[in-house]
Amino acid sequence: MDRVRLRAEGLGKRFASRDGGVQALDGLDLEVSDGEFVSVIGPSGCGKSTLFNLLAGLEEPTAGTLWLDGDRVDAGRLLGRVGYMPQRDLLMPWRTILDNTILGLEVAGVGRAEGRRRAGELFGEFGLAGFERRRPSELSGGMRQRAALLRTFLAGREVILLDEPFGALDSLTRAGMQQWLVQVWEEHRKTILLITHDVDEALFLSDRVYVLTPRPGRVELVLEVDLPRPRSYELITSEPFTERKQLLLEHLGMTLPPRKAS
Amino acid sequence: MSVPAKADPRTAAPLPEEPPAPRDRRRPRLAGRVLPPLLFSLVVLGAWQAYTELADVNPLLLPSPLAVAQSVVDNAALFADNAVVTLTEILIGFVLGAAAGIGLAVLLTYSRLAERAVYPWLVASQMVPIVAVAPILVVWFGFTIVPKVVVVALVCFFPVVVNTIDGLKAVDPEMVRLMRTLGMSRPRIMRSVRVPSALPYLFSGLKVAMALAVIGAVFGEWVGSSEGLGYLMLALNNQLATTELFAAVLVLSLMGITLFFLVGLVERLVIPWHHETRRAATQQ
Repeated sequence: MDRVRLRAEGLGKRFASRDGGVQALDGLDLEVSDGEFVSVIGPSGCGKSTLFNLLAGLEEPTAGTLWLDGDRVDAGRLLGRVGYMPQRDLLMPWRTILDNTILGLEVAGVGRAEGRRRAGELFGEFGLAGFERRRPSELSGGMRQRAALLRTFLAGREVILLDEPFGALDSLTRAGMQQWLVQVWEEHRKTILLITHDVDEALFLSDRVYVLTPRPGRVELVLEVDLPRPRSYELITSEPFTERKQLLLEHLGMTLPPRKAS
Repeated sequence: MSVPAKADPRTAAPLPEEPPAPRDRRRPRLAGRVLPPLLFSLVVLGAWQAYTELADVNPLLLPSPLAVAQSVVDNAALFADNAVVTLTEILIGFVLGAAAGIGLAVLLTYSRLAERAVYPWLVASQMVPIVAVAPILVVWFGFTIVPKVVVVALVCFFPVVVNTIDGLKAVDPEMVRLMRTLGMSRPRIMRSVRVPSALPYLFSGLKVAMALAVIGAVFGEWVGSSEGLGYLMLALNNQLATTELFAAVLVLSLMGITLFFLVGLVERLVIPWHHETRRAATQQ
């Protein structure tokens, strides 16, 4: 299970512009093994989105190398092999929820009927049962995100990138989605890399957390999250969790108020 | 603190308790949609009728609505024959203008070079007054249906091409990126993403085009024609047959309104999701 799926070494990205350009990422190392849930957190402007665009093959890095399943790959070979779920659900308003989720299968050449059958089997688990024929506008934000996640899951990529998937949801819905996602992940053991700026979310879901520095983005800290699984939401108020949370916050540059003696 | 039991996600996945967006299909009842315009029309027409009768207005200046309606009935055959002529011009011109507009829009979206070269001409073409062009068309094509169809096509073309170009460009760039990570090819993105997201824009263009088409046809007939509602209006005006002129305008208006709503109806049939999405957005 320890086979490295995706690895970045010395990854850098510089955007040229008239006034000298911006170094978004610089010398970033990162790896995700098979069946691992890994998170990347960092202050805004640390190049998280750039990192994802590089890992998804949407942009070419200006420095460093990327490996996918042991092969050195450039953007052209990454594109279409790494699943990608952006912050907005980007469901097509003209398709039903069911037909939105089978997009990846369709592109891969799976017939519509077969795709619908395969997707339909997962609708219950994704909390979408009964909404197969609805259009995206008829669903709540949380349901749309789950549909978008199902679309990404079904595309069957080796590695899935989640770009702040719950960032646009209200905090209660988000907490519910995190609990749900941790169980779905523990069931399916997909290889996932999550970008977030929510420290609780990163710790609760992940096996390992990378903290990035502000621009240019570098790895400031790698934290192995050795908290037991399966995890439930009580975890986030437990001592081991808050200790790690404090460590992460310190590395994110948050100065904590002195703790009150209890 | 309870020890978390081994969770079975299929049964235990705790989904957030959130109600789905209300599937509100209730529209205002039929009465609520029909009554306000009906009542308003009755008030306006009633005031008009009362004014013509009470002030004893000369019908050569302003005929009463009842007289106009009577004239439509009395001259039904005449109006019907001429309406068919005008309707034919409108439909042929509209289809040709819209088809050319859509075709050019797709072409210009595919090629930036073509867009840069052609777009200024496109805009300039709209600055040339149809008033100046129409007589030349009559000189070229004679008193046939052709100059009217050309005028209609010319006025329909522009709103369609501009709206379609905007629509094809308005596609969410993030959506395109997502489709690329799914392995979608560029031609397929055009077909599966760009074209559907351009359809609402296209229909906006078609509605404007249809409204202009009616005016275009009448204008084409004014310049040189021996039949059609536009020709009839001109003839009636020259005879000071004001009541019949009003009746002809009424027939033309009803035809134009019907055509406009037909485009809207086709829109609802082709892109039902657009109205649902819009309605959902206004509910939030």
